[in-house]
Amino acid sequence: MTQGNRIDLIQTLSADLPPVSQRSNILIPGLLWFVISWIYVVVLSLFLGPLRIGALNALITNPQFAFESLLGFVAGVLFCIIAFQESFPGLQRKWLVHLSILTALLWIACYTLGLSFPAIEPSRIGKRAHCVLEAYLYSVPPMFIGYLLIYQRFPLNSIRAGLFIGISAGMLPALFMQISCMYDPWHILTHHLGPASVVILLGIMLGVFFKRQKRF
Amino acid sequence: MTRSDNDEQRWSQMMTLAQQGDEQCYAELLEELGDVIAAFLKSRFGPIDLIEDCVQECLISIHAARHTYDKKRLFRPWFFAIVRNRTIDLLRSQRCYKAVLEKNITQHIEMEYFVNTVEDEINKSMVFSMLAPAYRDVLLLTKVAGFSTSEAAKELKISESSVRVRIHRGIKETRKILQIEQVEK
Repeated sequence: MTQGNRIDLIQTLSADLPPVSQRSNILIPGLLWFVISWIYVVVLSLFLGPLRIGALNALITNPQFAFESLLGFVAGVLFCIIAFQESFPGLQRKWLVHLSILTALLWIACYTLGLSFPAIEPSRIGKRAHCVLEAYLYSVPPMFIGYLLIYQRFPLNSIRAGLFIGISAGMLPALFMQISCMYDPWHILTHHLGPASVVILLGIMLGVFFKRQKRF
Repeated sequence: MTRSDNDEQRWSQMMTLAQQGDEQCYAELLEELGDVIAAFLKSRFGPIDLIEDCVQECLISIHAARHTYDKKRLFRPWFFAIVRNRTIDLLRSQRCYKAVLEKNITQHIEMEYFVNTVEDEINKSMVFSMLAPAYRDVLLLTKVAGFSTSEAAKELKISESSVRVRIHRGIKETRKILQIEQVEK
């Protein structure tokens, strides 16, 4: 390509230039996605089965259980923020990415520690028959919608955007299952967090697919 | 007010007008940004053929992303994020240098001579002078001279997987070097 091509390119790009509406706000789409996804998870989850008996009470009375849940919620919010930040060039902050990863790792570490020191005595009370399938049902549609919202902006790294939104969406059911399914750290790691890793992979694949789409 | 602040304000105003459909303002902005990108990349990579491809790829991306620019935010971080990302993408893809190499080979220029000339030109540039020798050699061979991974492995007498690892790390380092946003026109 030559400088002459550049002049031609600029003329082509600026000819018949349509006005564009600014899409520079991450707060509204990010918040909307997070709230609507939560409503979707809670409503569908309650429709398919009740909450575990005593789970809400444990959130108030058991500090370790409350801390685990809070950490998961914070990690979900942080990943939602960085996923939507990814949709605008130059908005991503490295420290926030590191903080999000650290929070998510701490959350997983809580359950790993819980294998030896569980927050609540492990039991099968409240076990949902198809919690793995439910986890996919609660996380895959929000993940797709979230990715499309991000793609409408301009993610410079579409794979990373897919990864972040996949993590955030995968955390939604994993966190809600904390109070709606049986409590056993091993069950949580394999049946609630396990599906999240598949959702994350789906997010990455979505990113790879959209990376190949030329936007101009 | 410094020249950099002036540019910042002017580019921001021009982009805002471009978002409203002002063709002339947009053409002027793209021309100016094209020169800035070229100067930025020239100071980082030296006078190599990658630059014009990068400039045009960046201009296309700026056009596709213009709806995401917010006048309340600074223009430069938005602009340089696009430039850095597209440059790295292009560096990964290799295609531009292969084309140059093929053109030179068809003109009966010895490959060795060509590689040495390019190396001389770019060795003093910011990115390649700041890279560790192990990464620099691999990037020069694969991204500049258009060697395949196996050819580069043979040339450097290391395994193919080592070449891949060094390419990956070299590009990561390059991304860090490109974070410095000062432009010398």
